[in-house]
Amino acid sequence: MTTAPPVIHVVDDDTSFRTAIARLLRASGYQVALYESGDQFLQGPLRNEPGCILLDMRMAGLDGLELQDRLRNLDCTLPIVFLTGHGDIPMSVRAIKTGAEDFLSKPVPKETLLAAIERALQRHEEKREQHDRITAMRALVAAFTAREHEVFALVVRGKLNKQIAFDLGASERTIKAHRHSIMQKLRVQSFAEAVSIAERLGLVATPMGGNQQ
Amino acid sequence: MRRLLLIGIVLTGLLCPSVLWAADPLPRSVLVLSQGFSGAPWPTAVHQAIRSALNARVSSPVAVYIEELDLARFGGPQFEQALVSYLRERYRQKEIGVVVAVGSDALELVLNLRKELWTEVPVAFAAVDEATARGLKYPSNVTGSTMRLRFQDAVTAARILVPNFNRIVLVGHPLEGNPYRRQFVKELPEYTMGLERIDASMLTMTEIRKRVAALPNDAAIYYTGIYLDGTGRTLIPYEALSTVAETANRPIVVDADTFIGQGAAGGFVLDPIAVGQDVAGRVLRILDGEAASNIPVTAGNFSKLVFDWRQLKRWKVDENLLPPGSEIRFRPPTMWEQYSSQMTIGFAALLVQAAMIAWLLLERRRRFFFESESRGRLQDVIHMDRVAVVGAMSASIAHELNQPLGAILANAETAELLLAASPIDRDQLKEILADIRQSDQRAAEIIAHMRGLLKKTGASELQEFDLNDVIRDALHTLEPEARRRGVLVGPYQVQGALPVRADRVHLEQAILNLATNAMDAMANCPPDLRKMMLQTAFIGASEAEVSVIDSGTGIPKDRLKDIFQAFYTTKRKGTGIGLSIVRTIVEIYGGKVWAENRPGGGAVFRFTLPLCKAHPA
Repeated sequence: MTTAPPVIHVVDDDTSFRTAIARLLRASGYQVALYESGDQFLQGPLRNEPGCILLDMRMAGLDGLELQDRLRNLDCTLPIVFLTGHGDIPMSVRAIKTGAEDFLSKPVPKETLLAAIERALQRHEEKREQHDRITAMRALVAAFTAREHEVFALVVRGKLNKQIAFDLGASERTIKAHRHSIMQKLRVQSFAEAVSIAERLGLVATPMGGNQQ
Repeated sequence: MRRLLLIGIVLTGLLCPSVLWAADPLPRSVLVLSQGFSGAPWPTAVHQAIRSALNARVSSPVAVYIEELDLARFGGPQFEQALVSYLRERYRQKEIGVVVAVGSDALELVLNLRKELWTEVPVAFAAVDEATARGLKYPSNVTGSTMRLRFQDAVTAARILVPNFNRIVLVGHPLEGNPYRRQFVKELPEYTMGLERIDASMLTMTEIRKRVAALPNDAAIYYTGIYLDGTGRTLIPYEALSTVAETANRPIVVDADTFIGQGAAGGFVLDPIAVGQDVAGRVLRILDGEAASNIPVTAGNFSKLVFDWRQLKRWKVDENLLPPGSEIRFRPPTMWEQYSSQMTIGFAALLVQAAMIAWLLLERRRRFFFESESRGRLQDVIHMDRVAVVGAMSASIAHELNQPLGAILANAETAELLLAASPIDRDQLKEILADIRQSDQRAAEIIAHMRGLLKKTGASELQEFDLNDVIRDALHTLEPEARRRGVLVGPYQVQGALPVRADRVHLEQAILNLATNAMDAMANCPPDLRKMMLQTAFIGASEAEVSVIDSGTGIPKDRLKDIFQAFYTTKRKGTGIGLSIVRTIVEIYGGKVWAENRPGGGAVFRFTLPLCKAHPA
């Protein structure tokens, strides 16, 4: 994972500030991408490589909060650090509630800015890892046969082999064989681990909910 | 009733011894026999004084007959006889109550006449020389006052007129033949000063004139009257005095009132009016029933010190050195005496005018004071409003200011990092410093502009400028606020230069007010519909128009006229000052402001201003 440094996307319509902050970030060892408006940012390729967005709250055209909205819909995981010339409490509360990493006021001291960026990158890293794990799990589940899918769905809901066999119109032994195959494909040792994967992938809404149904 | 009458009679008898005559009152008519000739000034003045004193009481008039007998030239038994017959015939029909004799000779004559005529008629006399009177034996029923001229008086007057007085020159008829002055002969030896006598009866007038023209400067002339000159010609003393005075080289002292004004300098003079009033007083007492014999003969003092102002000037006599109570005649009336009424009116007019001018000046001062005070108040209110408008945009202004400040900070911190690196990147440092300077300038400009808006000016600073520039300034100020509120400020349409003359800050304030108002009107609109436009246009060749157009809710029709009134507001937080300030500002510079609703929704606020240079149409 020691390939390229993280990319900081700076979205600000004030040229001088944009230039200044880019210099600071580069000197601090980050890659920097500059955008003079939210639209310009959206036009570029959306990447989920390590990085974060430094977003000006108040801009002509698409403003910070609107851009944040759009990005969430686009499944962009890049964390957002808001920057504003003059922020008030309602504005900052709204930004944080909708998932912003941080809310900073200009002029912002270097330490504060870099600390916020570091926190955001950290979070992004975690999110990314989690995302990768789930993707891997999905790949494992994708290797199931149709029968294995059916069996897995019923197994994680806590049904007994006997019940499953009855439901699917198969013998108990056949079900046991499917279970074994599923455990192997998921590369897990215990049945509890398999249930946990199912949960993470959202195949079980909640264990309780399943029982109630 | 009878008893009362009796007491009255007894009382009257006790108080008034002449009660017997009173029973038969004297006729109220008086015959004046004067020794003067007709027209002689001094006796004539006496006659007039007698006449007016006798008739002072309008209720009981006294008839006065005057006979001027010229006794200096006429006399003798035959004359007297003829006079008796003449008077008897003349006054046959006239009852005479009192006979008045004026002059010593007249008194002697009257006393003679009484033997035949008006035997019982009481006699009063005046202007009788003391010495003559002493020689007379008065019968009963005669009263009067005597008078006396004194040589000493003439000497006293001469000393006043001539400081180094040492010589008196008597000019006139010989004293021995002068009825009123013959007693001087006895007085003369008492005086040790030089004495010269010019006997007019022995000289011609020409000679007299020559003599008086060559007198030494310590001399004074005492004119005693000339009746005859050396050629035997009869002269009138009064007229002769003028002739003598013409050539006299020394001041002339006289003793008769009527000589003053004929060239005499002054002197103790006999007052004919006092003489006349004295005798008239006696006559009235007699006519009122008092017995003439009961009124004692007295020696009167009828002299008073009189000077001729013109002569005082001629002989350079200081008025202030004259004895107190001296009378000065012929003083030219002062301006005030001559034109007192005109001057009073003039002064009054001047005073009124001055008062009016003072009042007007005061009013003007007061008006100026109050005007400047109200101007000051207006400036205060306008300034207050400007502070409020700018204050409402403070968040946007802070945002605007924080942009360059943020850039500066970031640049400075980058520079620190670069300086810590081992090969120092000088080029980038240079760029950073240039950017810092630029950002700093930008921040300074924002602050300067705000200061300009917030600055409190004492009076309007009139300057000439393009209205479009002010609108650009206003747009610049507004932009961050518009962005904050999500208002799209439409493209500003410029239409040539609009030169106006006003206070720039005031006009920017007016535009900011209208724009803030427009943005407030759009607060409840959906974000996409918040649009504001500013426009300028020419109205004819001499006026510019500024329009602020919004896409808000518009103005209720019935309120279009009220909105510019002070304290009228529809906003919960509004003061109602903003639009009234706009109107005040626009009207200060000779323009109009009004509001309209747009057909497609929203409102337009427009104002006009006169152009200071006509637009070439």
